Formats: sequence, C-alpha cells, structure tokens
Amino acid sequence: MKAPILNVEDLSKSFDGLKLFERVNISLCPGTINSLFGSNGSGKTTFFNLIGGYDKPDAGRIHFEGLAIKFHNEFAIAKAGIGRMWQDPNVFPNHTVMQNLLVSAKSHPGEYFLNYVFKRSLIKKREVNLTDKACDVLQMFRLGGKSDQFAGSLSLGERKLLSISMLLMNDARLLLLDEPFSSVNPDTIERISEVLVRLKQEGRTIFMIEHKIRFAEAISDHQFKIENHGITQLN
Amino acid sequence: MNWLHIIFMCEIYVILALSANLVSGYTGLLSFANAAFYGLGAYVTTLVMKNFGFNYFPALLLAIVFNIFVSLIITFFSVRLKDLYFTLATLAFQVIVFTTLYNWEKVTGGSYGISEIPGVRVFGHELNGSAEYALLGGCFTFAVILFFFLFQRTPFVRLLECIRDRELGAVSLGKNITYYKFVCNSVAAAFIAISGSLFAVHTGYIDATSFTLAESILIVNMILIGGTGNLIGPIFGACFYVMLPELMRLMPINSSQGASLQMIVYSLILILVVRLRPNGLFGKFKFE
Repeated sequence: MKAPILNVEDLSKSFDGLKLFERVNISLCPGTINSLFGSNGSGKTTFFNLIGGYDKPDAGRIHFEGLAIKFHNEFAIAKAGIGRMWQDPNVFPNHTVMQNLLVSAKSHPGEYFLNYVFKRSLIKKREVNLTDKACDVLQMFRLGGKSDQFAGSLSLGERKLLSISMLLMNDARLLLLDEPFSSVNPDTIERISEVLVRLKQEGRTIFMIEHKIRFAEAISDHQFKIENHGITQLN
Repeated sequence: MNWLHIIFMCEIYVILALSANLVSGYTGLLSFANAAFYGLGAYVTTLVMKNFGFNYFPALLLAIVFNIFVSLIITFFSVRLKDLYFTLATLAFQVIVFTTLYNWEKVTGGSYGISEIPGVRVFGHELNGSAEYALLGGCFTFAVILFFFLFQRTPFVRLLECIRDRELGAVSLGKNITYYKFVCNSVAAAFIAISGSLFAVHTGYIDATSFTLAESILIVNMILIGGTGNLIGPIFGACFYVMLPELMRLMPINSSQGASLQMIVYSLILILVVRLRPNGLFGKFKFE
C-alpha cells in the first residue's frame, strides 16, 4: 500500500469558541479522487483553507508527502505541490488563456528580477518550452481554440477548466477543488469529470468539495462527510 | 518662457511618473510616498556632493543605494497591508520624511534649505545652462523609458499584473507576493532618486517644500490622468501637468489669479477623467 499523500492528524479548529472540528483524522491515497460533502457552513472550505495553509488550526498536524505543513505560508505550500481552485475560479481575467497558463508555471526564471541580467537566454528558452507545454494542456482540456481569448470572457465552466489546467501547469500533485461542478451545465460537468479522471490516471490526487453528490460519487474513489465536528468516510 | 527648462522638468516628472506607475500601475499599490523618495534622492545627492566633495555620478549612485535601502525598510513594514492601509502607510512615511527634512536644520538646512549645490562635471566639463542639463536629463529619461519598454512584455511584468488583478490567485499558484512588492518598490525608489538628484543639481538649491505631500498627490494625478499599466499614460500625464501651467501663462490673467485658476483647472480635469475615463486617457488598469 502506498504512503498517503495527505495525512491529517488530530486537527481541531474553532472560531470564537464555536467548535468546528475536533480531533479530525483523515488520509488520502495518491492517485485517487476524493469527495468531501457536508451541509452549508459545516466547515468544508475552512478545512481546505487549513490544508492550504490559509488558516491555522488550534491543534493537530497536517503532513503532505510526509512533510509537515507550516501554516500561514500559503505560497510555499502551493509551491510544494498543493494546488487550490476556489469557488470563484482563480483565473486572471485581463490576460489571455495562454498567458494565464504561462504565469501559472512553476519556477519560471523570468519571474525573478536579477535573471534579466544574468540569465536572459534561459528565460527565452523556458518561455518557449512552457508555451509548448501550455498548448498540450489546452488540447487536453479542449480549450485549444481559446488560447488568445481573455480569461474574463470565458464562461464559468471554461474558467473552472482553465483554473484546473493552471494547477497542472503549476505541477500540483494534490488538487483541492472547491465545488468544480457548481453552476455549470451537464456537458461541462462531463468535461470536468473526464479531465479529473485523466488527472487521476496520471497519478495526481484530487480532493473536491461538492454539493452535486451524484456527479461526484460517479468518479470518486473515496467519499467523506463533515458531521458532528468530525469527518467520516462514507465508503 | 524657458522651453529648455520646461523640457528638463518634463524629463524629471516622466521618470517620477514611470516609477510611480511601476508600483501603482503594474502592482496595484497606490503609494503617496513618491515625493519622499524624490526628496531623499535630492538631499542625499546634495549632502554627499557638498560635504564630501563627491562628483555627481558617485553621489547619484549613493542616493540610489540609500533610496533602495529606505524602500526596503518601508516595504518590510507595509508589505502585508492591503489597499487603503498600504496607501495610508505610505502617506505616513511621506509626512515623516517631509517633517524631518523641514526640521532637521543641522543637516538639511531646515526651512532655509541648501544652496550653492555644485554642478555636474562630465569628463572635466561642468554642465552649464538649461540646454546641457536638458541633455543630461534626456539621457537618463531615455534610459528609464527604454528599461520600461523592454520590461513591459516580460514574464516578470505579466506576473505583476496578475498579482494586481487577483492577488489570492497568484498566491495559490505559489507566487511569493512579498518578493515582488519588495522588488517593485526598490526599483521605483532607485529611479526616483535619479529625478531627485537631477532636480538638485539643476536648480542649485533645494528645500523641503519641493517634496511635500502635494507633490506626491501631483505625481499620482499624473498617472491617474494619463493612465496606468503602460508607458504612454504616465509619460503623457507628466508632460501634460508640467506644460499646463506654462500654457496658462499665455492667458491674459495676472499671476495670482493664474495660480488659483491652475488648481481649478487641475481639479476639473481630474474630475472629468475620473468620471468619463476611469482608466485614464491611455490606461489599462482602474483603481477602485
């Protein structure tokens, strides 16, 4: 059995004395799709915020690929391989789809100021390589024809697909997706589902919050539910 | 009307506006500390030249280093502040710098300022007259414009724009926002030091009243009217604001009326631009 990619141990969190989680334990296996269900206000997004380092727990530990997560260090956690798609997809509306993908690339030398003095040729080379990679990703997400379109002009479903593709460009190994199926039509749900299954086959781990339980169950390996200040596995 | 002097002032303000645009237009941080860095650049150049007998260029280099150092300190304390809170922090810094320059008589001359600032010597020749200073200013302005021109299509600026548009999105892609804020503020402070030093050596006299909060507001107005997030907007805004008073001199009114009218015209233009073209005349980004 593979070691878990994410391991949450005895996690507790409360807000102003109001208990949200108490000694929560959960493990995710690599290369699986996992769904998290729960009523509104039960703490699903907060749980993702804790995993992504956007919030700090009162007690407990979170390990990603064996390494302990340091809280309030969001960008470092994202860089380590935990990608996050928010309910409002995190695309950059004033940039084209291609630019969105290029900016998502991990460790682009062109994003460091002094490299323009010392490593100009490396920047150009990397930009060309990343453009090729971005074209492949766009094909996979069936967004190839939209590469020059501004992200702000895409439909919500396409923005969600773009947001997931950006996580791929960022080499995220654990994808935290906040309601990928909400407010999109059944065709787009099918497109997103296809992509998620393909990402799973590539070895990536998906953890998604979802209210459309039927669609989520269809592709999920494991399902979890938040109830009574804890998280229980349904299957 | 001394057109060469006007051209020189346009050059100074173009550098100031482009630097302010780096912080405000590309990164989305509205700073009111530009005049403070402008003043520090002018005073450091002056003090080093007068007290230590340095030539202009080494003095300018020291002013740039000093401005970068100060900007690093200011950014350290303000980097986690967002939107209006960042602006308020820069405003506080502006007030602190002005008050210090105005009251630290022993070093800055206080309200009397510093006079008899040595001129610029280039290969043994001391620059003299507006034409030669306009040429020197032109060289610096050209270099700064070229820098921004080459830089605006780079992955670095692309990322800055993304941070400006959606900071949380950039963070969730593993981008270290703090690093970019430090770099932008430092580069802008370095360029502003050039403006300050040019102003000091050209006028031969400086006092703190040239570096007030009103001056910072003027620089922000320049980029708001011209537009942020590109090159043309700040250049247009700077030239427009420098030339407007000169053009108003052609009107048949006395100087005291002209000064009042100038403020009314400035305000009207700002209101019109904000109402009719919130992105500025050539801008890509709108402050909200």
